[in-house]
Amino acid sequence: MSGRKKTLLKVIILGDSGVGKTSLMQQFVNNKFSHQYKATIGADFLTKEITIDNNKQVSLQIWDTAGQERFQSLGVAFYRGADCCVLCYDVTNEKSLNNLTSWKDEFLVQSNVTNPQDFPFIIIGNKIDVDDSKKIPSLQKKLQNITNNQLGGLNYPVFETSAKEGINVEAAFEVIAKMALQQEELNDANGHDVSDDYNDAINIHLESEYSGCAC
Amino acid sequence: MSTNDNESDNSVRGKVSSSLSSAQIKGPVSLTPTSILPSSSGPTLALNLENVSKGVTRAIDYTSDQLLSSGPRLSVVSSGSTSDYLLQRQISQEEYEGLTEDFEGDEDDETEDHDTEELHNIISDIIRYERNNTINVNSLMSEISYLDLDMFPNPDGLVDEMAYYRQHIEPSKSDSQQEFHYKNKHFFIFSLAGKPIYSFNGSDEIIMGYMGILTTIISTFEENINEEIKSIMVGDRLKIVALNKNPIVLVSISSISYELMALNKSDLGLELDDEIQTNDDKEENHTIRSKEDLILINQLSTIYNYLLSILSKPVIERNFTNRMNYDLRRILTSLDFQNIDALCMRLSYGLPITKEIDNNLLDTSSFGFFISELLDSSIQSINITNTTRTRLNNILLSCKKLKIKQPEEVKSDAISSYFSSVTSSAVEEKYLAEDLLFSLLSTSNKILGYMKPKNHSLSNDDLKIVLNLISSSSNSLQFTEDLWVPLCLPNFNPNGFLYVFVKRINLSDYFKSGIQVQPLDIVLISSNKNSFYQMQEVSIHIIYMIIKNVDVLNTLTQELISSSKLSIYKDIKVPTIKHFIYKLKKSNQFIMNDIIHVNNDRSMNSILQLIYFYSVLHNTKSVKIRSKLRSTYNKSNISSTTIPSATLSAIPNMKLTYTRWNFPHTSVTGFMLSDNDYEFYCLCNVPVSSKDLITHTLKIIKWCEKNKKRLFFGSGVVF
Amino acid sequence: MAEVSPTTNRFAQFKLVLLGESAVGKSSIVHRFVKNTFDDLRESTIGAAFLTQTITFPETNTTIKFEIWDTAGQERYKSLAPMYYRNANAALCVYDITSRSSFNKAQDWIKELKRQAPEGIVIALVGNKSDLAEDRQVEADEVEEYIQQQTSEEDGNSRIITSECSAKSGEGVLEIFNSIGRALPVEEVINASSRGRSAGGARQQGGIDLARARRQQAAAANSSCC
Repeated sequence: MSGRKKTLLKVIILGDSGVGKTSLMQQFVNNKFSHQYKATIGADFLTKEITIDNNKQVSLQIWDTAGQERFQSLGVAFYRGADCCVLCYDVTNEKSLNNLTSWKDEFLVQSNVTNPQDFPFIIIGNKIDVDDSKKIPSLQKKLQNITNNQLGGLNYPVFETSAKEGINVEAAFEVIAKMALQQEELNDANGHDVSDDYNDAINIHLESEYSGCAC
Repeated sequence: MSTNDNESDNSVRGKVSSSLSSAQIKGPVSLTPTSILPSSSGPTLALNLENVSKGVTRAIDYTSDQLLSSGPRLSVVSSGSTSDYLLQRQISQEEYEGLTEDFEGDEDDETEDHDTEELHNIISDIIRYERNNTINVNSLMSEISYLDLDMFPNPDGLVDEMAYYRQHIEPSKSDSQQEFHYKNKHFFIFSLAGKPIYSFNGSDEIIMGYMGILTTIISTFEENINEEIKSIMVGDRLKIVALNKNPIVLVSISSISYELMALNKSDLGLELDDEIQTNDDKEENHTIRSKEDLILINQLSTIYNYLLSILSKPVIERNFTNRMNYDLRRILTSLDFQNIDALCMRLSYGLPITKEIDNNLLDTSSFGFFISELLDSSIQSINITNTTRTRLNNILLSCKKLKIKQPEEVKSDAISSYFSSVTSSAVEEKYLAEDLLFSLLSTSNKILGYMKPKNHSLSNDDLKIVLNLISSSSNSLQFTEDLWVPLCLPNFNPNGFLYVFVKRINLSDYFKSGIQVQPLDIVLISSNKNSFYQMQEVSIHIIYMIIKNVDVLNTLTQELISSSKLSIYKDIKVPTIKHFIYKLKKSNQFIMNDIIHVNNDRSMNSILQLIYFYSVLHNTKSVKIRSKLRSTYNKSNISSTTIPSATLSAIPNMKLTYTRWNFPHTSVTGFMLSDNDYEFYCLCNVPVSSKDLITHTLKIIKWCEKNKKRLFFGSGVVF
Repeated sequence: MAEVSPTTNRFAQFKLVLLGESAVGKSSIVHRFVKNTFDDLRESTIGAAFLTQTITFPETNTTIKFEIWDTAGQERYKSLAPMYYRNANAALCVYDITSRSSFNKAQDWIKELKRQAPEGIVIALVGNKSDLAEDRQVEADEVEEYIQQQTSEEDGNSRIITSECSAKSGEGVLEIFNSIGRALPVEEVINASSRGRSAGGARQQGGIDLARARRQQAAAANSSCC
């Protein structure tokens, strides 16, 4: 499909309320951080175009879901047809770290993706700008427990970011785009576009007596 | 509930806020917008799904002051009861009267003359009160600007027709939010995952958020209320209509007045009984609502049919199987997007997409397409003599009898063929056109001749797909290429392709003198993808049959030259009627006269006016004419209009609609008359007496009936 | 219809197909060749278009008529390609010199042609848009390298014609068709048709005998019951 100019990727961001999903998105798209916390009630949609591997143009369609528990069930529309999923936690909030697994499960249940084991996820730990004293005690160890767990673990790339300071945000999204693009190319290799199927013969029942009287 | 998130700058494309939780799903929900979708303040839509009552999910009324801020300019007074929301508005320069009255009575046989007289009585009573108006007899509709009509919102009060066109009508794919929000009409196509496929306006940047919002709304309703969302009414001037063709969704957003009218069509079995009409209770409102969406739903279906025609249903479905993230744009081409743009423009405005929109002699095939859609996919026919039509049809038919010898050494798909006599009976002989299913001869998108098999036919929607293919390839056809195009005709069979051969011929080439004649298109539809060479030879045969006889060639050329002008104005005198449409119901074909008769031009202004007048005329509830008056209405808004206690003979299902628009210096009268056989629409731009209106109407109808065979191609010839 | 007459003008007819990625300018090349026109805003081709054009070689008093298939480059129509090249005598695999991917695509087409097309098909690898040389992505030596590699694989029998052109300026377009014309087995076809048979692969000329068609038509009319 070399004629295609841009790849469009749907990225969804999940994680507990208050971990800074919207801030991450704002930082990435607009390079700005809003100090005032506002609960997202529903979802935001943002678009950003980036170029990866020097020449691949990718258009990211980012769906930022509501974090609050009570809005959890946003319906399959959010999850359906996602190309990549970002799981976020807050480095100062242990509960948000522990909830990553259930966010992942929620996604897999709702999105009904065909190959869950191959689906591209990444993990973002936000708010690394805060004092070390406020961070989760022995964070790295706990994080490893979650990601390295052999059975059903979240063995995905982890990024520690600060939406406030703009640290690592861009890098994280670039990896997101790369992973999603790889997945997309893998899909292409497996199932070609059904675009050229002109062999669906139509059965046309005609009486074969053309030579007869046509009146 | 959330409010406008004004911190979000331009890159925040949209936001849906919903307080829906699984526990609340079953409860009733009400929707309160904090602002509405194409508002100028940014695309924030908030849903509060706490109180939806199931009955209103089909169409939800938003109210928004924002939309009305420009202020209505038109006073509309009508006794019509079904297009009320168009009519509830007040104030200003012009007046519009739509009169719809009911009559009923005993059924007895009367002479036609008597009918004429009765019709005359009815009309004259309806319009009697208007005679006091002083109107310049020599006025032209060209003195009216389409901006004077209650067609489009005009928030900036633009008075320049071209400026308005550029700002509000012309599709724009720009990055500007403001440009986007100015547009009267939006079309979106996206996948159920919310990935954009097409948008009439706006860049990807702009539309991506809307696609997300719309996807969310649509699937929220689907999942949680188990009801497919069909339309959302925002205030009284904006409607969002969705057509869910899983895995893709088509959405139209319109603020065009004539598209927000309800359709009143008995032909679709949708007409309400008079009883229901009078008992205007809420239950019935529910059914009326779905009718209100029909204009926009039909437009979306037409666009969906285009997608099917190039891709076919299985191709669309298979791409999305196990891949809901599929991006359908990958298999669409730039030409497809251009074609959809053109389609959207035709469907909404009857205008072509052209850089020379200020040309006073625009191509009117887009106008023809609009009228065709308005009249239930009726196909526009062309006026040629019956002799010529029969001759052309017989030529098409003769192709099926051509035989070829099949040289042994050549493979079957590369037949180098020779005609042979039908009487010879060599074993290796085959019919040349064995795979030929349908043949069309057309000129400027109108059908002259048509051949079809005994047990198959093409629906009007399919015929229109074929005609659109020709008009969108006219660039190529100018180069006298032969085209060979796979095409899915969704009504014929949505699951496979037929193969269309198109050749354009210029009859002028066969004359030494510089006669200019519109080109003729030969369209051959085959079931076999390898039958190009056979079709090419069939086309050569057709050309040969047309040009071999000088008489045939001359007659056809002359008739093509004069075909655009209906000879009616030579045959009969109907000076009051500037433009008319006559639709033959049986074959669902129509003819109309050249728009040039109206204002001596084919300008954007003239086209838009006609689009408006005919839409209102068509969509206004018509009067059923029965021979005894059931009740005497006294419509409070129309002074001194009394309903004639006329009796009328049993004209089967005769109906009429009379509308009149008064302007400072002129007026326009629209009149519709129909019975079981025909629908007749006309526009007059001089003060017209009831007598003239009826007499001239009936004259034209009679003329059309008399000339039926030369006006309509009917069902074609059958092999 | 042109008849073969050895004393006046010698005539042969060949089928030629254009293949290549969407938007490389296949139709533009054809229209430059057939009509000597160029339209910058040309829409993409749907399905395929069929055109004809003749060229004359005065030195041999020979006229060649090309029956040209201009195919749509979109993937959507890919499965239809075999029916256009199946009986072709020549193929133009077109790429855009400013697009590497289109060059790869052209190579794919050559591969497919070698596998599926009739033996002896004349193949030309044509780089269009030579007027945009400043944005060039495909260099001449890569093309040469590719050709060397192809030729060695094929015992040197089927040399691929390579050329660059600009449909926009017209530069090099006619030359391509001329070199194809010279590479085609013109003499064989002419000799074969003068013996009353068609040569392998070439479609017979004079596909329709109008006089005969008229006779046939008359017969059909007589046999009809109406």
